[in-house]
Amino acid sequence: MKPDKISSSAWLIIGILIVYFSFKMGIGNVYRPGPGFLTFWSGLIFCFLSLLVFFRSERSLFCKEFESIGQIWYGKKWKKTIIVALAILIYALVFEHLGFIISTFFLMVFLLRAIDPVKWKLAILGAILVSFLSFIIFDIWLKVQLPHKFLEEILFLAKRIFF
Amino acid sequence: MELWNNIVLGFSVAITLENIWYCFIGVFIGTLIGVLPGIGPVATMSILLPTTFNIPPTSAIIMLAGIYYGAMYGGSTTSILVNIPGEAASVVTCLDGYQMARQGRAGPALGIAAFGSFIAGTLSIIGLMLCAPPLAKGALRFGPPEYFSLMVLGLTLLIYLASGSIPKALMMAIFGLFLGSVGMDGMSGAQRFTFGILELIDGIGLVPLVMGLFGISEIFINVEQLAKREIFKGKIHGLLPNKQDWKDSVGPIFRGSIMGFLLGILPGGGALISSFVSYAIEKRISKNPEKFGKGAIEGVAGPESANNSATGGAFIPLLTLGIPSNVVMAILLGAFLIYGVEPGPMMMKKSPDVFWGLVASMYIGNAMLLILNLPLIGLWIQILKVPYRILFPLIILFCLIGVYSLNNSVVEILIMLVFGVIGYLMKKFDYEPAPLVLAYVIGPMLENALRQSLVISNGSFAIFFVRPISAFGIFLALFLVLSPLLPWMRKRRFIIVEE
Repeated sequence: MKPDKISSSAWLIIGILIVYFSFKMGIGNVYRPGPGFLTFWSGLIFCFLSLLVFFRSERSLFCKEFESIGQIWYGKKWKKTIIVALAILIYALVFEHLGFIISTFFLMVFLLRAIDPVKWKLAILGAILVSFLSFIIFDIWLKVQLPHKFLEEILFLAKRIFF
Repeated sequence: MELWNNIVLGFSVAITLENIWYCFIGVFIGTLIGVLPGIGPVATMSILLPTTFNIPPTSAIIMLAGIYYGAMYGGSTTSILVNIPGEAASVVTCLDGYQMARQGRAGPALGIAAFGSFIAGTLSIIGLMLCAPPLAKGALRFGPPEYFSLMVLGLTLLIYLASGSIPKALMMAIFGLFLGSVGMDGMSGAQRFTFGILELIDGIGLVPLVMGLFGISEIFINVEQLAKREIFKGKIHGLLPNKQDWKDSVGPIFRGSIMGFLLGILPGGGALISSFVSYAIEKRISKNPEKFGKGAIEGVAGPESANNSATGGAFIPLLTLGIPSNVVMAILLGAFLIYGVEPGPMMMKKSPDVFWGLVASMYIGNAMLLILNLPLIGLWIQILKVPYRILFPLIILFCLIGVYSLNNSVVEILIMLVFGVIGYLMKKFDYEPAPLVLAYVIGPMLENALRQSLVISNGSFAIFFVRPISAFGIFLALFLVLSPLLPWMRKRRFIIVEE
């Protein structure tokens, strides 16, 4: 199946949802446009354009090189993309519970080893350096509020004692 | 006399120790990310935006602007030495810059890129200073219909100049309008598309959206095709171009400067298009067009001047009308609003220190960049040697910290991740993110202008056609959107895009 057919079908569903929810919000009229006015009409145009892309996919001047969806990922290490996305997701879910330094350490080690592996020693040392340094720069120096747990509190205490 | 007083005011703001420092930080980071392929000014400005909340607005804007024009300088280094553009606007520099490096002329190539950028950057700032005040005065007479039609025209131009299909680019612009409407409606107070999620009441944040679409998605694309970079190994000597080099480059530099400035003002024009147009024109008027692509210095001088000059031009619609002409300006608009400064026709009256301070800082920043780019070339080459497998975890971490620090909320990270995936799929399926982001930013303004116009005209759309400026904008936009229906126009545009 042509990539444009798949993408335009997905956009069509999104367009229908936009139109539906805009209608529910209230379109109003041209004298008193409601909160759903612009999104409703633009949603309708969006649906029309999705259909246009769908039916024109056979003779499009652009993106001719891909005949099927499989070709887009042919020869690409797409599993690595999924791994990175999952790593970010897990990091987002745990880092308020584990604290910034520990969660960043594990994220760095994982990314340095899982995608294009560096040596274990370099990965661990690099991860320690990056997690501590980034905490010092962003949290202590630039006053960005990052999640504090045990290690972060120790660093903060050390800052108060020594500086 | 008034202009002179404003320039003095600008320099009195820009030449404070604090602002010089932030200007330096901006142009340094800009050069750095320009040198490094895989991260551009859009993602960098988004990452750094939350860290600027604790510094004065003028300093923050000076720094963010420095990142933008600094990246244009840095981008040429990678193009010339590695044959990989550090910045999209430096793509065309690869053609002759890398060939010059292979012929042992990396020094003059880097030199003329830096000098051309400096001259063009300075000329464009002069253009900005001269054009902005009268334009802002004229814009004071604009009402909602004029603003609406100008914003529609801006979006349409961006869509028309998009490298892919027009229906797809138009779809992305509409999707951007939809994303911009998420949150509380400014006129009725109703919640739109929030689905009960507390974090969405204020709308989808610009930073997670941009970081996802430009930062994270770029990483997703890069990790599935990690490639080794071949870095120029020869010794770089003679950074100063010789007499013949200057003779060959003076024309392209000045032509590139003027063209870049004019194209920079146009929405969607900007640095990328101006560099391509400059290259095409230099090749067309050259006595030896066969030299192009084989190491012609004109092929470096013209485009590099054009892309730097375009940065100055791009500030004009933002500072005088409050309408961003490209994605970087859209982020700057977001930053201005966060700092409580409203860009537009009243900016020069309400915040003259910010306006003229920013303009003056660009002079200083350009001089800093000349110093940074030539003597520190060795440092940039060393940075180029950092492998991507070490670089990308750091970029991810900076994105995560930047986006979390906005509201100290994990939801922002999840929003960024969602847009990262959307951006990745958009790139795979050939949809451009630029119209989406621009429409997202100007969406709320566009909607307000439309609704206000309809209320003023008692529901009549004729209001957009009876006012001359508004009618011009709408008709031109309609022509551009409908032009692909004409077979010869469609073919012509396809040829331009392919070239």
